[in-house]
Amino acid sequence: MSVPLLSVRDLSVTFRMRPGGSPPWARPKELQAVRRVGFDLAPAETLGIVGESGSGKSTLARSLIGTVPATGGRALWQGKDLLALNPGERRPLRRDMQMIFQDPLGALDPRMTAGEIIAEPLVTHETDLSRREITSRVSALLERVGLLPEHINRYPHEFSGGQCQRIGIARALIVRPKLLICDEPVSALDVSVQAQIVNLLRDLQRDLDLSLIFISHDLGVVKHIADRILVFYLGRVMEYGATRALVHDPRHPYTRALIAATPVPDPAVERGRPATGLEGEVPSPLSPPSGCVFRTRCPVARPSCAEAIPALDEHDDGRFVACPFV
Amino acid sequence: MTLLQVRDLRVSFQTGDGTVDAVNGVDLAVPAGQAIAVVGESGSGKSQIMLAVMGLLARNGTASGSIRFDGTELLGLDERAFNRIRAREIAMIFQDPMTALNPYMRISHQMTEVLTLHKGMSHGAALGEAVRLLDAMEVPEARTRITMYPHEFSGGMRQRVLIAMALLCRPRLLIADEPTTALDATVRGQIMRLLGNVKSAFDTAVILVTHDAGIVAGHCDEMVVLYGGQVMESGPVAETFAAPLHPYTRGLLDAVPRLDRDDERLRAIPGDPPGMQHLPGGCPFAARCPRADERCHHVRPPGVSHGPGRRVACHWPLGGAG
Repeated sequence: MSVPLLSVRDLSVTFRMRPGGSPPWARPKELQAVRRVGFDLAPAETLGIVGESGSGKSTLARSLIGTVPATGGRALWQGKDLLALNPGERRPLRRDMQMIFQDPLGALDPRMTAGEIIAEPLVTHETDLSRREITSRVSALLERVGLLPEHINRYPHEFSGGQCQRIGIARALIVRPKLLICDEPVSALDVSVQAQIVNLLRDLQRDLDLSLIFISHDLGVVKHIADRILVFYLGRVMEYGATRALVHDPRHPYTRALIAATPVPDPAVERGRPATGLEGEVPSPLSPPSGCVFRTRCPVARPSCAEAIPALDEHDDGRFVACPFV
Repeated sequence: MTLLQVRDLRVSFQTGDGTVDAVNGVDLAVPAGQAIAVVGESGSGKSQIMLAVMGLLARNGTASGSIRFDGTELLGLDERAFNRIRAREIAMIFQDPMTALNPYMRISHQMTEVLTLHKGMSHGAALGEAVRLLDAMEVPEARTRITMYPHEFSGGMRQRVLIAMALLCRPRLLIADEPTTALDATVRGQIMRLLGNVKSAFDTAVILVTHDAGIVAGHCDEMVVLYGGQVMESGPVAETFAAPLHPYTRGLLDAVPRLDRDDERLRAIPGDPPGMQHLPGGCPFAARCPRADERCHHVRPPGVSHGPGRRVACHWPLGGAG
């Protein structure tokens, strides 16, 4: 692998909070949203992060762009530790890292036109541009993300969800970032439109040599865009490896369960599959199980799983699995 | 026996910006004790059809056509008679289980209320029945957990509570509107399995309203595909998946990201669903359809029979013989 653009080691995010219903003088509990996560992201590579709600996948992304403070570890961006920078030192790097969000309409200011929304990051990051240069860059990008020139003066409410997400993508790309973080970018869209946006992101990535971090609860979507996948459960990495290998030969019991739970739109396949669903639900991150956090729902759990947190072991094919029994 | 027969249903809303036609001439039949899926994207009118069946349309909405439940016409039925049917014969569960429960009331109170009110049961008998149903929906320690408040349950557990509550009066039809959309992947399967059990254990017909073709494949007998407030195609699930007749159905099934296939690109349908305010005169899908010609843009294709149990509304159906 070439020199990584972003190299994350032992990243942790801990929140201190009082559980609902407890009095204000109660001692706050620690919620470990992300625990000792590590990965490398090469230029023009896509990392998929998969997990259920509450797994900490969004918190991880937010700690990278600095909207949530990380409490431990390192995140080396071209050699510089992002987590050690003060806000002033960080500002010039912000331009290299942009983000798009789940709610496409909610992420856009309703009182600004599409053109103003897309141009806004330039006002912050490239103050020396003339109006004409701004307009030409906005129009070029508008077309590149699949919108029409006449859309430039319309307001967000006049667009469909898919079109709003295209505006969000254009706004993120106008400053020519190196990394685009996509937090559940297609979850709120219809299936037929979802495929358009995933294909668009893939094309943009190839054409612009972008690195992507693509966060989703849907392994089916992630599989179609990611080079490598990080499987998250309760803030811990369960498995990490190349997409094809991970999907076709999942090793961690949780990855297996996640794949078994993804329905296949084919009655012949679906009705022939054994019912191997997981029991129970994700435990509260405020009181995670001891040892392996997945053990309470794991079909192959043993008594020893409660004792020690399993190490993320490297397997022969460059894959990492946090389970000693596979 | 056909339990629910919907004929030429139209639902429109008067809004400040003019009339919105949400449902435009939909036919639907639900046989007793069967599970049918109503599949559609946002704006397809799928939820409005169900609200019309339940008599729960918003105040600015009007429905016309015919909705017959077990021989009784529901459209235009007076409120008292409708309340009787809603309580005992047809029940509905929704996407967001939290907003469907009263946050200020214990689950026990919310469940027993249904039985004491509609069935005149004593509180003790009602509580026993409520616990029995929570047990049937595999809520662990139902006897103690029934005294909790909704916020003390997880999303999946709340959905189980709602299904149990919907079944209290042993309805003959259960309408489930996107029951698993708000749930995590590993919990979704559990809820679908329970809904499947409902059909056999309670002899209740189920209408599953969903945008997700994946969950339809494993759990339903018949399916109806909606677009722009119209039925594009209907028929048995196995045949429809194996050889869709309508280009929209084909496109929808192709667009689903699949783990069992290694496609390089996802197969998207170009364009966006139509706005309901300016619905085109012809086929609502014409603007996005690869097979559309001039006629499709101007003449709405009627639903015609196409092989045993299957119907399609398309001038150029897939599979040759059109």
